[in-house]
Amino acid sequence: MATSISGPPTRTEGAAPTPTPTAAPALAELRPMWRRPVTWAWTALFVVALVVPFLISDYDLFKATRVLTIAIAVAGLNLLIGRAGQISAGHGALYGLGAYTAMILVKELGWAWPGAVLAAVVVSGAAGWLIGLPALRVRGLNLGLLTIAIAAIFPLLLSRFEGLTGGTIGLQLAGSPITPPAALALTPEQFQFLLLVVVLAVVLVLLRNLTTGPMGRAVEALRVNPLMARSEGVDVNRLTLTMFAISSAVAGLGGALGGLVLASTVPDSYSMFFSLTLLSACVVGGSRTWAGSLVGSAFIVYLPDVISQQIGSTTGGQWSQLVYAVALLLTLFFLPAGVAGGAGRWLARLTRRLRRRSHA
Amino acid sequence: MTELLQQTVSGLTTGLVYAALALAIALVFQGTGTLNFAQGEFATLAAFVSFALSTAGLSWWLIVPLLVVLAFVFGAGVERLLVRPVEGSGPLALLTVTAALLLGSNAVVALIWGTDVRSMASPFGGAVYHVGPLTFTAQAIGGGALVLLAMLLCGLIFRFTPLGLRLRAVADNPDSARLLGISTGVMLAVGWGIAAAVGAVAGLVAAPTLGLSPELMTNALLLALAAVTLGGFSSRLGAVVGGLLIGVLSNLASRYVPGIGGDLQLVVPFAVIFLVLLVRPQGLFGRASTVRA
Repeated sequence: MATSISGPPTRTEGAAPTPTPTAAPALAELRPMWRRPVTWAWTALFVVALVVPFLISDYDLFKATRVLTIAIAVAGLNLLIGRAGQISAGHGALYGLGAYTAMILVKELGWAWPGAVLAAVVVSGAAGWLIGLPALRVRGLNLGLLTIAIAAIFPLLLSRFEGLTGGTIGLQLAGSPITPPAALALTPEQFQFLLLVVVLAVVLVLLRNLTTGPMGRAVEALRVNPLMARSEGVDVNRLTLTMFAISSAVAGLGGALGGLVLASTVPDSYSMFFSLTLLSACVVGGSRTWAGSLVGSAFIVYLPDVISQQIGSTTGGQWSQLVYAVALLLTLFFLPAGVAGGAGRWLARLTRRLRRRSHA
Repeated sequence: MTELLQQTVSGLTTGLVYAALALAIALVFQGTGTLNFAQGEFATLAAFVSFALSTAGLSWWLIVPLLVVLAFVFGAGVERLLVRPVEGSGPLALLTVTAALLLGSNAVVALIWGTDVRSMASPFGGAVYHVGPLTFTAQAIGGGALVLLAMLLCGLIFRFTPLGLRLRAVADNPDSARLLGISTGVMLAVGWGIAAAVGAVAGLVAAPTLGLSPELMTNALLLALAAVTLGGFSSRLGAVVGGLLIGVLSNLASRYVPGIGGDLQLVVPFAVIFLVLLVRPQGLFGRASTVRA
């Protein structure tokens, strides 16, 4: 089983016994970037996203911005679960850590928001690195064990350290510090949405490059078989830690922007259930596709609204929690690649059939 | 000194609840090889069912055995219907299923019974006994005895019955067990059933002291996870000892360490998990496992 891990960036045909199903994506990777259908779809989506803020109301935009901030965190989770094969049941806490760090810096120390967001990314990344340390000793479920403990304890710590975090009331700003420069004639909501579109696009491109280059192949080896990866010269422990730290930093970025856009953070928003909701967004959307992060976060942001409209808001939260659980189970049973992954596969099959028909 | 002793004893009685939940988690882990994040929620569900049965006028002598049977059927059913489909898909999918079960059962309990904290009368009455300088409530004694009995029964089943032998065989080496004609699928379901039954007793005993709410076992789950980590995932005895230790430890810490009171007691299990994984990942009673490629 000698699959090249740190070789040149083009895919080498190793002695892998099952090359047939992977042959098509390998070809697609060799094709120049502008000839790939996926890239075209993303570009089109990006352009649409740049036009959207001028078509819909500020309230709808505000919701959509929330989808984007959560999508950043889910993309981080995708890197961890779908690529590195590690689980986190505590990304909600890391998202919250980013939000609180940014809010504290802006509110108490008067930082400008870009600096606060950067600091939040660093803090969350460092926290993720720390969390990853004990999980290295034995592989397997320990990261799950540790992260769910963190998810449970984080809101309690927030309520406890009142001096810093405002206790159970949390931190509020009079308005979001993310405001458009005067030269641009945009409403704050339009500016925030556009900012988030750009940030998410940058994050997705960075993550994709990270997982397709030489490091990506090391990560792939780590997920498939850590022992094999180690024997191929991959520093498994360092790579796991790096992946967890990057994933946490990305979650913190989403949280920092989410917190500042909302101009409010309360401990209840970052409970264990939020962490598990992020997990279900990742799996339902499809942990191995980047589009999955958008699908998943749209699912968890819009579903509670839809449900509250249907059956009133008193039990809306519980009904949506139940729907997350059911969706998560159904996805695991019937659509292991997630909604985006399944749709992608279906589209690929469709185009292949169409192409074959046009040849015949 | 008396105070220290009293705190230790009350730590032991709460520790018994964590021990039972930890035992349930260890049972599932040994069979299926995953942590059941939903084990605490199953216990909460059982506590609510027993509450509903007792408000319907059933005697506790009837409720307890009925609850154990119901929990067993529920646990085994969950394994057959919801866990079985992803059994071969690796630990990630299994863990995600239990996370979904946590979300789902928490939502179901909140939808049926609401989110308010209810007080539940103790099945053992409100009497208080004094032994020397120590005080015991009837709830602590009766609850402790009930949990001990459940754990003892579970231990006896595993140690001395043919069923227990099969269960251990499947936990130790599923492939060999299958070759010997043991139906591993049935055994895994039985393991989940026994785990749910032991957890149900823990929920029943915890509810009168903690107050009945959908969050009843959320903290207990974390404490039980810490207990299993401390005792070692591969040891049933270790889980129980770990639970007792965690109970005493968090009780003493919340009394004597300044700043760790009330909710922040949860810092203790977190610290335990962190340290054990860092220093002795196989736990006190567990065996270190080697992996072959």
